[in-house]
Amino acid sequence: MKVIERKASDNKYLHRDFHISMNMLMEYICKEYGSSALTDYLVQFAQEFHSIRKECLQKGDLGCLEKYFKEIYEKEEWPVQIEFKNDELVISQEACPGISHLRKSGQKPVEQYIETYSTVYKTLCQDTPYEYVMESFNSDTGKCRQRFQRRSV
Amino acid sequence: MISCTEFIPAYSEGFKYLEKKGGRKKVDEFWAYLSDLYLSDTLKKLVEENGIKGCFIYWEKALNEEAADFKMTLDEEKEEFRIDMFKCPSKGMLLEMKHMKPYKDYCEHCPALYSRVLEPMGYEFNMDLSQTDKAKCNLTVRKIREDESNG
Repeated sequence: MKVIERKASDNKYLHRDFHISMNMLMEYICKEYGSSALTDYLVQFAQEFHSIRKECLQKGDLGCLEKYFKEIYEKEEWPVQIEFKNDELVISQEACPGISHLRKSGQKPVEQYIETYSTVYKTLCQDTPYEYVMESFNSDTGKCRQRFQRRSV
Repeated sequence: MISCTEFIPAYSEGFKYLEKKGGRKKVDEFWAYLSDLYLSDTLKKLVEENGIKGCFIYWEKALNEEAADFKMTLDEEKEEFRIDMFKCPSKGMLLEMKHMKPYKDYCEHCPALYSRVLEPMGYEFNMDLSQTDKAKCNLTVRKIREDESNG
């Protein structure tokens, strides 16, 4: 008889294989309903998941996004450069943790993988004083540079 | 980016989206698709190679990485495996996120995914989902003996 017992505090929450399940979900939506449905789904996800951060942006608090990104990359144990100055937030990464894990696991990221950035963050910025710009994105690695900035009047 | 630490709310929203598009049938179809695609190389392979111990190997990795609060019991002699989940990290996260409403049948993805792999391999799979409102559940897998399967 073999028994193990664990408390939540015994381990760090980091199950990278969730990137594989996420990719399969996106692949399924594309296969069944086309790529525009994937965009619809990501809009729905962003509206729900990022609603609290949208409220911060609506109040002109871009600092809450800096805090969010710092925390999320720390939890993901992923290197990133985050610069926040003059009401502008720039995020640069050498690779995407999701794409990297998929490739390492022999999986192919969906063609529209970039939308997990673009659609999600454009939706987050909708109806706020800020806009999201994807300055560059390498679809093989997910290396990218993203910018959140005040909308020009 | 959708971090792997944000997957659970994305997964829950995915179920809602699929149900909106094609009803519950579409959600069930997706779970079958995911089970065939993802678990065939992981859980299925481990059970083929190790018997009931394969369940222990599979869930030990997954539940530790997911920082679950659980007890896992393997009885190789009886070919039985059990998980007592005291706090499911996924359902726990969804219940804690007050600004989002989880998919109503979120927890049903577990039996849908795992029974599809284990039952054709001659295992009985059961889950008690009666306390998922507290992020608690339990799961049992038992090898069906030949004399049982012959009726």
